[in-house]
Amino acid sequence: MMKAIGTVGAILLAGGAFVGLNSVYAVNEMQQAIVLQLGSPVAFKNDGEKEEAGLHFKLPFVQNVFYLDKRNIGSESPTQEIVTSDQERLEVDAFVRWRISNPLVFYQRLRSEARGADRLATLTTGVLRAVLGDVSSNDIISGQRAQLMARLAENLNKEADDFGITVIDVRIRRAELPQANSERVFERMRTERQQQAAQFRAEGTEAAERIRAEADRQRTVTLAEARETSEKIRGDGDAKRNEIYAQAFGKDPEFAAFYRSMIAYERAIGEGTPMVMSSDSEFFRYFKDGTDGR
Amino acid sequence: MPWNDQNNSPWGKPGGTDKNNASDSQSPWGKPGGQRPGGGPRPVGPDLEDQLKKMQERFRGGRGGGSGGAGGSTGPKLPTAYGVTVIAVLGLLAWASTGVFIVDAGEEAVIMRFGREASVRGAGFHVHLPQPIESHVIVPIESVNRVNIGFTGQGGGDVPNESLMLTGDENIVDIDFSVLWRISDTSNFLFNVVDPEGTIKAVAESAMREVVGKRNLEAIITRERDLVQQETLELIQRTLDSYKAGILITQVQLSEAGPPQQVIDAFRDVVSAQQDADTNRNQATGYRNRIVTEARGEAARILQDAEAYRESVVRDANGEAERFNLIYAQYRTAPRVTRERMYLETMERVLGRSQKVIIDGKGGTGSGVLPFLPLDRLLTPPAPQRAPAQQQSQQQTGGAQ
Repeated sequence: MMKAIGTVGAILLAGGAFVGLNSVYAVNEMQQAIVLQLGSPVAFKNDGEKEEAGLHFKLPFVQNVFYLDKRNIGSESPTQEIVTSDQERLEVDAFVRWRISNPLVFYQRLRSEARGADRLATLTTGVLRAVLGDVSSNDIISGQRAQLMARLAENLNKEADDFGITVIDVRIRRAELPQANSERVFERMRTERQQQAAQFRAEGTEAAERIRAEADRQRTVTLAEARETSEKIRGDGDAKRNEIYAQAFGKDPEFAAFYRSMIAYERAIGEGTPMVMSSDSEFFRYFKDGTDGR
Repeated sequence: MPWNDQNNSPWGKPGGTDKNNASDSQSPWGKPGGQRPGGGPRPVGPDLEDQLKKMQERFRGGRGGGSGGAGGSTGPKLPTAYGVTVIAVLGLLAWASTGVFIVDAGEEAVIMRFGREASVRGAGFHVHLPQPIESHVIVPIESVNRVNIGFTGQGGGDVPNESLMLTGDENIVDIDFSVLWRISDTSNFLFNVVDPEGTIKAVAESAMREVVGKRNLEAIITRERDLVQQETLELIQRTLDSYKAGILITQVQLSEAGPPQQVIDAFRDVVSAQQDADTNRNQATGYRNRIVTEARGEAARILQDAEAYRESVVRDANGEAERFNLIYAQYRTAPRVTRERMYLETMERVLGRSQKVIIDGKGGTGSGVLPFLPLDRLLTPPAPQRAPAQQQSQQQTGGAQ
């Protein structure tokens, strides 16, 4: 008897526990929940409008709970080649940050986050082509990047709205030239540098040539100045000499001429100089006749 | 249990999350050699069922050993009331122990009641209601983490796909950088963004390209490196803040910003061209220093020579003048005799060493016969022939006066 009561009690307890567990559910901070009653939605928990994480109750068995992510989710769009308005090709790689803003629509159309990401990738591809195909490559690379990203987000948001998705942000991760074009850029960079190197070298040569020429000039001028001064000094010397001679010889010009002539003869007529002389000359005055010839 | 089959819950499936985080060495809580090698938010207590099972086994084993052979022959009996109580107490204790945890320095724990954030605890010993009513996640809020972009951390291998980017002047620059970050808001970090690490990397890459795209190559690789770092940091932070990611970017480090591998030779050649130019200039300056100095030396020599000439000429003249004066003084005392003597003495010396042909003056002119002079034989050296003859005749006329 006791045993029977115990068994029934145990069964009741187990049943109660089962029903009890089936009538509560927990939603954590990262989730939002949809409560479906035989397939049709009856409640949303923690869907961004209210902070409702925690324990909740539902009817057991007839209601079940479907969980969706509440957080900011990132998904990448595949790299794609975009022809810009100035006919440049760019390989663009973007990522989208999004969240589920309308869980019911999202649940009805997409069911899971993975499918949501897939759909978003498709949408992003289209929007990227539409928006970036309309502007120049320069705007994408430098000038307008921030504005373009804002426009991408706006356009994508319109389309994603149909799926219960809110696009928080679209960011262009890479916008680069395709391989072939990169090679051309490298070639251009190379030639630019070569040009610069040639310029530097030529400037070096120029400067060196200037310095050399200036040095040569300086040398020539220095030497010429020295010669100029030298001539003056020599002239001064010569003038002084003349003055000295003039002073000395001026006392008796006639004797001075005689004296100087004597010195000159002695210096000018060297050893063995042939001379033709007349016996009438002064030197031979006494040559023929010992008496006074006069 | 509805709270155990929740997807995407880092604590709902401790095993799975652990594995994911452990494989990612960059994860804030999965650092190799860190305090928690297992990685992942600290597993929230052992599994309840496992615990109970173990307890039961231990209990049974202990009892079997204690009763010796008596129990062994009859097989396992139903537990007595005493036994049930022990099991129940031990079970309760085990259950309660799932609510006990320790938070290390530099960490923070978020306690959740049925998945809802209940409170945040700092370092120390803490207790919460046992699983599954309450659970906790521990995050290292102080540790600074690093995300490398453009290269792989340990090996230093370059990732060209990440590191090559277009500059504003349509050049390509090779940039490697790291982003250092830490958690600034624990609950935002845990609950707002999927894959925070991946988010940081994507946002950082996008931000760097945006910043680089606004600048010219030359500026990026030289003087504006700091500005690039600063601007990128601000842009990343702004973007993450807009996601409410609970992340603080502490630093953006440019480990490399230079021309890509493909053109680096050309860039190096520019540097060597500058060196060449400097070398050239230096050589020329060396030439100038040598040449000009030497010229100054030479100029000094020329001047000294001139000075020497002046000095010598003046001295010579002085000497000669002095000699003349002396002779003249003597001459004045007896002019005629002195003059005659000087003339004869000079002539004696001059004619004494010359080759002479003496012609009779009267016969030569008076007879009308031309004397034959074999000049070609006489004058082997042609130059001095005329001068002495002239001087001779001048002297004759001078003497005659």
